[in-house]
Amino acid sequence: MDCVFDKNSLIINGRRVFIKSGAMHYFRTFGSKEWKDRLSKLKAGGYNTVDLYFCWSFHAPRADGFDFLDYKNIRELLDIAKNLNLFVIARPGPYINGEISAGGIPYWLLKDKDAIIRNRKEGDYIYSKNYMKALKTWYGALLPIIKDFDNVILIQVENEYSTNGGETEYIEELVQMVRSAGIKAPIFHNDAYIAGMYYDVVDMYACDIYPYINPSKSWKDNLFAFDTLDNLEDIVRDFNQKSPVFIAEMQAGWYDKWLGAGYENIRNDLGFNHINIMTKTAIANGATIFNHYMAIGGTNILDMAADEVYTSYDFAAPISEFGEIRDNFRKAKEINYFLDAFDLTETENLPRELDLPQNCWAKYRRDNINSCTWRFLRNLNHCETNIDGVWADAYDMKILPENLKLNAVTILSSGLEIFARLKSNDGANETVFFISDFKNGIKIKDSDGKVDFISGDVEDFYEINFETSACACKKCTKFIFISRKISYNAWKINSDDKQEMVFGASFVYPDNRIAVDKEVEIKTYSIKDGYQTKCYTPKLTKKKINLTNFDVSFCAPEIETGYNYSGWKSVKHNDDFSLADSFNSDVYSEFVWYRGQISSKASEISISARHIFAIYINGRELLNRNSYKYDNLCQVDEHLSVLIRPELLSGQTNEITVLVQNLGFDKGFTNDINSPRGLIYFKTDTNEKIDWKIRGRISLDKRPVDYNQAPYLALLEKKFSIPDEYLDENVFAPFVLDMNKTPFRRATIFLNDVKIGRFIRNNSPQEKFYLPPHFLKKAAEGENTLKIVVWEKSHRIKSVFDYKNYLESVILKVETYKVWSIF
Amino acid sequence: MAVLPDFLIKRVYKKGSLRQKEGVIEFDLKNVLGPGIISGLECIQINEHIFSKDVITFITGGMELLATKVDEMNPIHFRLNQEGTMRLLEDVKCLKTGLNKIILEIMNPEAGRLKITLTDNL
Repeated sequence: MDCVFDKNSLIINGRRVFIKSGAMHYFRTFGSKEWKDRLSKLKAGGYNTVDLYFCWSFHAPRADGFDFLDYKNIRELLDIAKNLNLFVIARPGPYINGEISAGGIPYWLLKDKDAIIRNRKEGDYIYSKNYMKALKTWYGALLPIIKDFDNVILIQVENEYSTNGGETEYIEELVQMVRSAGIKAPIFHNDAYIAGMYYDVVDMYACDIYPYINPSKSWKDNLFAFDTLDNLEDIVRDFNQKSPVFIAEMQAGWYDKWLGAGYENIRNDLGFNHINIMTKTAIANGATIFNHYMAIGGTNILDMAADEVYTSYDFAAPISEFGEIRDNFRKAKEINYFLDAFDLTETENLPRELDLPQNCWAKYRRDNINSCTWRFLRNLNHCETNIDGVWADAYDMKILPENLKLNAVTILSSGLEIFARLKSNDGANETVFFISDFKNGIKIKDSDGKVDFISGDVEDFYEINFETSACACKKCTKFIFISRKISYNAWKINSDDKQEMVFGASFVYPDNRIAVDKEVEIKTYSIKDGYQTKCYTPKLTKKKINLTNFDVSFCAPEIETGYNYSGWKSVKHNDDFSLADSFNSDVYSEFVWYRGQISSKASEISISARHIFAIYINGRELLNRNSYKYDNLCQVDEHLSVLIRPELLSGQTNEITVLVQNLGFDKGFTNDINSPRGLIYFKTDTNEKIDWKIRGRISLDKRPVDYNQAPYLALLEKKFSIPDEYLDENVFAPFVLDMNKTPFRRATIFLNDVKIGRFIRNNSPQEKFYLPPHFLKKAAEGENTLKIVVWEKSHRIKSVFDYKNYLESVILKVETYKVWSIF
Repeated sequence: MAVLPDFLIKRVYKKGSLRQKEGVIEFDLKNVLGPGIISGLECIQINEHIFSKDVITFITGGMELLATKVDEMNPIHFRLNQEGTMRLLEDVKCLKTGLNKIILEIMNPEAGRLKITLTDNL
């Protein structure tokens, strides 16, 4: 594919293309079936491009090779994108951020003291041969795969990179590596500071824009949130005259953190207004390449999450973690369809003096392709406001045509937005869909020169027809008006021989399959066939599977006295632990065990650990503590002192065990990736030097139930089956595990031995855990096994006997989130 | 400590603005980078002297904000192209002729604690 560019847009195979991209993390959506579903929805929503980070650590859990199989098969992923006619923006890192643990840098590389990650230490540029050597193996494995796909139209090197001195050698070397691999697509880097960083090193300049980063405050209370975006064209043109205005990451949601606001709050705050304003303001600034980040939510399985994010990575994205179409998707679809209707790849700013109401913003662009003007009007007031003669709802933004010549009529001015346009194959007939709006109207001039005003206060599917008077080459334009509510479930399908609108479907796939979640009459419209209707009745209803009578066992024999830990590795420490302690022992996992001995003289322990830990002395619990803390939006360590209860001690020496749950490495966006993990500090009042032994991973080894011993870690196990019809091609039914009713405070969830969730009640509102279909078994493959390791029980349960009884009576639900039938 | 590129941050400082007058020290900033949020003014060091937050104020948009009143819930919105003056309400002789080193420690909601090192000539 020939992909070049000028200052206006990308030019692909000789044709200008407006790039409407959405980001998906394939490492947070699993396997070809889910990739196909999500990318199909993206395509149906009018996006023409998918943005893909490629995650180094996901494919290189060990230093001795790469894993591109099964749900890591990126050839399969790229094939799916290609078959859907989606372009790809490839972003191979090496660093990707993405709230991934260590930003996607493999853990084993962090262990190498001579490998200076990203050639940067405390902001200073330091070239590291060891780091570059490892990076070359990653690029060497990945780039040949990318090269095989000619739908890759853009490729990024590094990610939001900077150094104190702004040195360019590293980026230059990455560019050279991409070119040496034979990849011809334009190369870019995304500048997080919008300061022209590396613009002269890469082919195309690109930047990231996130006006909303603190969900504790609504963007609606910050009138300056869009300052940068409002001035983007001027800012970018200061240093970049050669390539289009390109937003490599344009906010389409935001991630929730441990102790955060919760995704429903973020969704409610962003609503559909935020993505509407972001996208339209970008277009008003001449952007012809945007990438909604994220367009598709995902799930943090295994140990993938950075320390700040929990299992769900829904991101309040247009397509949710469970694959559901949300309101911001519907708004993005509306904009994408508009951009399909009119080519806005060659526009220029048209200065115009206006007396704008307070908190309103406007911009005009001359369109050199459609020979018209586009008005961009934005209202940041909490009430409807009249801007330049057009009523705009609170927090709304509109793109409106002026002097737009259609087949048989000219729109002189409009207060109504265009939703979509269908054209006949010969171009002689066109249908333009408007969003009706009782407060505004359209001023038109017909082919006889007669000027008229059309009110926007009309019923759904109200039509007006225009024809040219000349008979020889008669042309027609039809206006059809639909309400915003109708537009939400309206879909444009482009097939080989015709364009069609589908009204009333929950969603459609690009191959014309229609999804509904209730009995509904679907209306279709094409220029050739007009309207047709058909009723659809879902085949399946919601499914709920109650899981009871769990097999309960107590696990983690590491806690017991007499446990043989001689095979564990030694840690030399002097009260303070370092990251090297775990690296030198090859411990990178979420759970880390420490074991040693203290004397009976010890009466107090001072401790700090990341992030959650428990201390056991002679097999009995001294403290179980959630130390995950945020202060002023920064993670802070908690330092505790705890008195040793005398009854825990016996004899001269006592066995001490510390189990630490670490929620991930720092993502390393602005910091070095060096946050300590596991034990950070440990000291007894007797200042004892402890010969610590260390081992990673939580053990699911069972230990016998002994009613004299405390069941600190319990394993619940249950098999279940999901009826095959819910996993069928013609059904979309995401399953979730609902932990709402449990009195557990903390648990780790495994589905068929894949860790799929961390439940920490006090730290996040997440109670529903996605069961990715890729890890679910069909009936023919046997039953599914759910294992839940419970680490902290309710304090109401006092005795071992009660605890085991309680666990055996736990009821959990595996249920469909929603069910859509596909026709 | 978070890292933002020094050469960019230095653009925010108005070179030559460091001054001492009537018992206070002042210098000026102009945001040429993009809309910023300051959720904490932690301390400022000029040469060897450290000014704690209780003697720091920031004057912008016609208002003088006490550093002790700036936090996550009451941040400073420092808009693109907005100007401000950092005022240090302590009568100390820490400025010297020639090169002066200024270190600002501020909080940003996304980047966390930022340490910004600047220099100015007197």
